Amino acid sequence: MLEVNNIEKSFGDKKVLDGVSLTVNQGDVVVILGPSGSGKTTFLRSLNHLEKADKGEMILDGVSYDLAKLNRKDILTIRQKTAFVFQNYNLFANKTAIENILEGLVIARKLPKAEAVAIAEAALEKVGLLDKRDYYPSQLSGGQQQRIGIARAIAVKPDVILFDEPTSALDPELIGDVLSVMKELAEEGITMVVVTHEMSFARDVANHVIFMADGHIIEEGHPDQIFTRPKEERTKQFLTRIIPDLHIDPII
Amino acid sequence: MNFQYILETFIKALSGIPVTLGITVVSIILSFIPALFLALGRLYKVKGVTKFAIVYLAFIRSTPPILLILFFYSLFPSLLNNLLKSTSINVFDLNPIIYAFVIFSLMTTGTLSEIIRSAILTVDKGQLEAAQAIGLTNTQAYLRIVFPQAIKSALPNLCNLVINLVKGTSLVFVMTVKDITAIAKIEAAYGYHYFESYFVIFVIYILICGLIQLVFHFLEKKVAII
Repeated sequence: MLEVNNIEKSFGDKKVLDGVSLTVNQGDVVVILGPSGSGKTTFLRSLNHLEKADKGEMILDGVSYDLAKLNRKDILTIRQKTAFVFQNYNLFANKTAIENILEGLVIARKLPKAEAVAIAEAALEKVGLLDKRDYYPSQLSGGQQQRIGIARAIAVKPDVILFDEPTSALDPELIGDVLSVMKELAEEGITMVVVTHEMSFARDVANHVIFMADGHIIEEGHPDQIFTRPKEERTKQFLTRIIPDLHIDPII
Repeated sequence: MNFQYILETFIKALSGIPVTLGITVVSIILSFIPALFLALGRLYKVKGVTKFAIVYLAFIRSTPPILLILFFYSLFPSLLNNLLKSTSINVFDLNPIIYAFVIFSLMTTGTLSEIIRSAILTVDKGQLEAAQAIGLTNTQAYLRIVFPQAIKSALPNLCNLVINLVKGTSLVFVMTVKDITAIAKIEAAYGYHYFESYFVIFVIYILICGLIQLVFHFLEKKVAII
């Protein structure tokens, strides 16, 4: 359903993405792991053109796009078919929780107001924050803001939701709420690509794990394989550093 | 102190208010689009715009308003007249208030572009990205998300700008434009009532600027989110 081939991207002289490819099927939960500076966030951002790739092809919903030569209409189409959840939530500070969600429905997708409100309320209900519908972001905790961010993403019924380290800015005790919402979405079959450092989420929820470093995909596979029998030394090093008690089968 | 005179001058000087406010309002209206263009051009690092904006700002900031007035009123018409010699247009018939519009627009454009630019910078870029990611066009994102928040941080600076402009327009008496100051000066010279006349315009400026501050105070309360 979503396929990207050979994305390349440089910031100045530094090549941050060097031929990254990815295939996502309907209902997949793809988790991208990797040390900071590995290019995972840039990769995710290039999927909806928050970052312009220097090279690369993307096939979304059967339509092929050259990521280096997108026109305004293509960008808008891609963005209408995807949704993005940000590390810093990025809720609109001048809008209430429900208005944050309505923006994408009423303004971007031109849904009638009443229908949009019903969808937005259902989305708020799903993340457990319907009682906060008229609160402004500044009145909500980080975890609540991120759940509104997720509600804003699911409300537009995108083909795929892109999560950029959705729990990294949260206090430890608030992470659980956000992760359980994401887990629920995964169980409902919503297609997600998630950049995260939450290893438990990667292990328990993902059906495909990608390990990136230095702008390359080092290794990818089913979480069972990546977490217990990583093939690459680099992956092993990373995982053992992040999860000290990880048991990796010795390579025979 | 001649209270009768003060009252009469006060009423006469009031007739200069439309001129003073007219120059202020017209300058802000005329400079808004160029200022927005300069501000966005700089924020988006549009080739040429940044350089132009920096040079323009440096130039306009370092020029005393009175110099601009002297140039436009005393030199510019003669230059223009030379150019238009063959036509039937008489440059010297031009109402000098037009020059006032031009001068104060040129100055306001510089200040306003910096106010707009810094106000936009106070809105976290992430919100613009979120708006784009959700499928809004750039224009929609700016109009619905960025500008409403930017205006909040711009208001105190805008208030300063308007007040400085109102006070700054008092220089137009040099160009025989009859604003508040010009009227009072004429009255003062007529009967040697300098103190009374200047006291009158002092009061009028305080009233106008006080009112402007009240309006902005009200606006700031109005745009406060919670």
